[in-house]
Amino acid sequence: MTDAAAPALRRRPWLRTARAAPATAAPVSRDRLSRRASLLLVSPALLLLGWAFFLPVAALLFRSVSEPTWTLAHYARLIDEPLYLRIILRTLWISAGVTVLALVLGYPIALWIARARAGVAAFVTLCVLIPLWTSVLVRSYGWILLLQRNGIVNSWLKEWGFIDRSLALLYSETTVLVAMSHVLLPFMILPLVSSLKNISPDLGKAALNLGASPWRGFVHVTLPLSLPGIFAGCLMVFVLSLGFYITPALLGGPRTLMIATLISQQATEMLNWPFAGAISFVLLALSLAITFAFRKLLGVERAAAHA
Amino acid sequence: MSPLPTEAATRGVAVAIEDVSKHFGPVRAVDGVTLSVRAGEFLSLVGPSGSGKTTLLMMIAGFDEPTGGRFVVGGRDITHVPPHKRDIGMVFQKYALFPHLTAAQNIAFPLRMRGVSRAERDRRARLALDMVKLPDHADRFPAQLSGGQQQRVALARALVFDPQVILMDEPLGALDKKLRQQMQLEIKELQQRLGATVIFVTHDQEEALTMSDRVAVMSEGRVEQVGSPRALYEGPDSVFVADFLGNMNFFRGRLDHATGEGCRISVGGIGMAAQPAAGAVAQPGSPVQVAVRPERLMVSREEAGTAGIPGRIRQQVFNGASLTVVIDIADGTTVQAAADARSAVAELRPGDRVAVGWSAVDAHVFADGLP
Ligand SMILES: Nc1ncnc2c1ncn2[C@@H]1O[C@H](COP(=O)(O)OP(=O)(O)OP(=O)(O)O)[C@@H](O)[C@H]1O
Ligand SMILES: [Mg+2]
Repeated sequence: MTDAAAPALRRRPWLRTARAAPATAAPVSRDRLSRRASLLLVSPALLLLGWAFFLPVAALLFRSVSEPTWTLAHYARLIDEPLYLRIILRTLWISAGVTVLALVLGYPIALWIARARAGVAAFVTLCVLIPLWTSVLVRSYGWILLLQRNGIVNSWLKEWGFIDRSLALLYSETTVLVAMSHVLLPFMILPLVSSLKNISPDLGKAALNLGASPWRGFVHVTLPLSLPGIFAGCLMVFVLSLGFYITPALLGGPRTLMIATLISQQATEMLNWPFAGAISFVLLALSLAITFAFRKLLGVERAAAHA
Repeated sequence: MSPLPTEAATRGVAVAIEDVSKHFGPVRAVDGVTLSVRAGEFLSLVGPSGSGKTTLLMMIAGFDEPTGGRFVVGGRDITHVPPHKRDIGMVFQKYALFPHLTAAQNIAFPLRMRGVSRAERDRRARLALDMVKLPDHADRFPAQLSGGQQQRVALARALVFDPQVILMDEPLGALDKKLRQQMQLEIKELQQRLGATVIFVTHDQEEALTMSDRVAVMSEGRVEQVGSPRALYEGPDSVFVADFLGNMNFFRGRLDHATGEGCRISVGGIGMAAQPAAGAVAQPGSPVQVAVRPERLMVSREEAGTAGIPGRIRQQVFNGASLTVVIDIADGTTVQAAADARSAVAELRPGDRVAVGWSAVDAHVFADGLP
């Protein structure tokens, strides 16, 4: 457990049971790996991560302040030009919207999985996971097939006589919002399921027995106890949304640019690597800030580890 | 004594369980149970694992619909009333305290659900905490309480809203022996003070005997016998009940003749007096089982002319207050006798020949249906 999680724990000591359990379950004396052996085991991953992730990111960030000379001009440009600020704000609000939508859509499904009989639960979980194993590209093209001018939705609406001319369903913020929620839904559902499964069914019965209607029992018992899962799922979806590339790029069009698309544009089309670096830094800073804010709000780390 | 949390001191009502069944597919978890619990009575359900105790309790609480039959609580048929409108308190085996609420908030929960004002909730929660002797633990979360303390909070929570009936499913199962005995006394005392109707499920037949006004012994979804602890212990109606409650010795024998009150039997050719158990009828000459409690068995050194069934001491076990001697009798059965550690029985050594006997009133005769 880190220090960052400690204040949250002090405020909500009931989280401690879940937190303490793994620690007590594993006796200290169980053959711990020596420091050298552990280092040896993680070194391939560390090397790869360092070489393929930290190094390029660091290089990119370095270029954002060092080209053409030492300067903060690229960052100033981000703030000064309303276009870029708008993109950042749009990214934030779309991410927030995606998070809320995924939570609203995902919670009932998660509850169903957690409460259903084993066979049903396994089947529904599979239904949630299969899209996850399908490429994001495929799922986004699926939305294009549905929503394009002569796509499935438009032709049905026309056939049923609701509309005469095709609607422009693609390339709007709403489209991006809905499609991203769909793509990221599993990342909301899985942590929710694990935290809901941790809630003893006796508690629901106790609430009923004590006079709570099923709805009030949910509001007063199940919902607060599933907060760790809610936070973990929201964090995951929000941070993934911030940097999401394929879906907004395909379904958003040029008017619904989001940060990741902007970075790619600057790097590959404008060849303005320093500016791309500056935007990347803002994205990274946003993601980290959000993560820490969430962790402060509630020790999520733990719930995520449970998932 | 602290004041009662209840506004009305005696609110326990009568419960009638009328021919209730619950079938899970082919499994008859509860099979035509009829029981009436009096207002303010402490009734225990005991029985081996899988005999349907929990299933019955869950149906009374409303978590399960019976396949047949009905429940009448305080004159109201509640068979189809949803659980949150039943006004029945329940103490769960694993306490089922809400981990995100403090002890006081847990106890106030049922009041909150009933729209009681905050001030009144606080007052009654505090009284209830006093009642279970945890006045200083109001702001602790369940994870910060010991098992016994959690149990008390669960008890207070089930009592605080003056339910008509309180159900307890092995509430002391997770506690160690000392604490268990202490809690048994406390629960019993509270129940009597509040005049609450309690239906209490336990595995521990000793617990059932010490706490209950009446005990119902269940087996395979049916009630085998209901009665006061004493009546059950001293007058079992069936071999099952005789065997299930307390320790019991069984002798195989033959019925010689039965008269109005008592009967004569022979065990290994030795004639003995006994009395037929209620409802157990056997024809003279038919095989019977004779049940005698270890503490009712009389053991003496076998000398010429001693009446009784001959046997040989196999083992002698000292267990504090009393002494148990294990005796092999002639036909190969083994019986146990409990005696005062300072009595003459203590002088007996393994291998010694003894004679075993009993007073007629202590020996219950059952028809021996077994092969
Ligand atoms: N949901 C269910 N589905 C199928 N069978 C069940 C179900 N619940 C209980 N049973 C069966 O009903 C029977 C009675 O179970 P119950 O839990 O009431 O026993 P119990 O007397 O409480 O036992 P224990 O002392 O072990 O708690 C058992 O044979 C059990 O397997
Ligand atoms: Mg049970």
